[in-house]
Amino acid sequence: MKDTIISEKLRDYYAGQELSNDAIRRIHENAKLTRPSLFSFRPILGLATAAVALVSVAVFYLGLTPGLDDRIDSEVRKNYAKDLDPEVKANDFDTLATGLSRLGFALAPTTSSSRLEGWKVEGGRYCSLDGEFAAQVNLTDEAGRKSLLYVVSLSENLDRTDVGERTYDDATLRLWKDDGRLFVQAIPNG
Amino acid sequence: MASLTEDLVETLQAGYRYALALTHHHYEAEDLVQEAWIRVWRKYGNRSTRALLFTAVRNRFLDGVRRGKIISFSGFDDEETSGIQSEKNSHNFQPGGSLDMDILLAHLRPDEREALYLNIVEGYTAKEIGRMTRESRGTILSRIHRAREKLRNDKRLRSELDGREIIGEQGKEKV
Repeated sequence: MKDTIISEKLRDYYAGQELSNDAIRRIHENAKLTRPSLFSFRPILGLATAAVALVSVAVFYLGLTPGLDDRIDSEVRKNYAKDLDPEVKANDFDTLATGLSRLGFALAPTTSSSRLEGWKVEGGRYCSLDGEFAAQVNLTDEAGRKSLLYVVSLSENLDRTDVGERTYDDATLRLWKDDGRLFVQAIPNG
Repeated sequence: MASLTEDLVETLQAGYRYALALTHHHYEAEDLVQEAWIRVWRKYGNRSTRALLFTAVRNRFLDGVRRGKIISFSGFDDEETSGIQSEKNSHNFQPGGSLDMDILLAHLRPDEREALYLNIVEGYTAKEIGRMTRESRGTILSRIHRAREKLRNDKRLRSELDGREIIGEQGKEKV
């Protein structure tokens, strides 16, 4: 048998071999009865994940998600409004730091003590600011007005915070950096 | 077949023929394509393709050979035993097409039938078949060549075929 005849016969032979319609239907019905595995949705899941990630990034950059400054301001203002009594009472930063010994950083300003002129330490407590371990310091002035001071070690994240003064309806926030720490003071307006 | 698309039917028919090339046994081929399609459909659903089905058919076939489930092909790569197994195949085969080719193909090893089928019927090149079977192009080419040689040179079969041709021509039994 020559090659061309072999090829022709082979094609004819296999062309004549086929499953019946019933068999095809049965095979496919059986397959459909099996539950698709999660793997079968992998490309769809992948696309969905990518889409969610893209939207998240877009939302973040469009400012629809609160930025760092907003988060800090919001947290400080909220706790300022709570006006909680200090858990550790002290009349100065050093004494308070002794009472809050787990902080791992000093409370007293090093280069910016003048910023707190007129404010007297009443006490403080442990807290957190944007996920970083922090201290809340209760301050009062001669007029009896209350202020809340946050002191937190400057992490890479917090170091991106804009410093300066921001005024809100309920309080004014003053932010500054001092010797590797971020200070955020909430004071009453006026 | 209202619910089955033409593509799907053609895919399953092609899968069946490929399974047939491997097993040379109607019922084993149907079982094979059934098992393979379940796996492919479960994994890929509507994205199932002929290539995926072929891969699954081949994997299921090799699994069957390893487990001894497909007895006929325990010597997939064993030249010594292929003749005996092919004899078994020829007895097991469900006639339905050309008996001449049934007999001829039964004397080929499964891997030879596979290479011939993929090359001649499906139109894959030796390189493409090599990719599918994870073998070199040279191996596939020599396999196709060997299979053709067997078909060309099988004198016993040739004389049988010649005899059948004579029967066809003369319309009477050859003595």
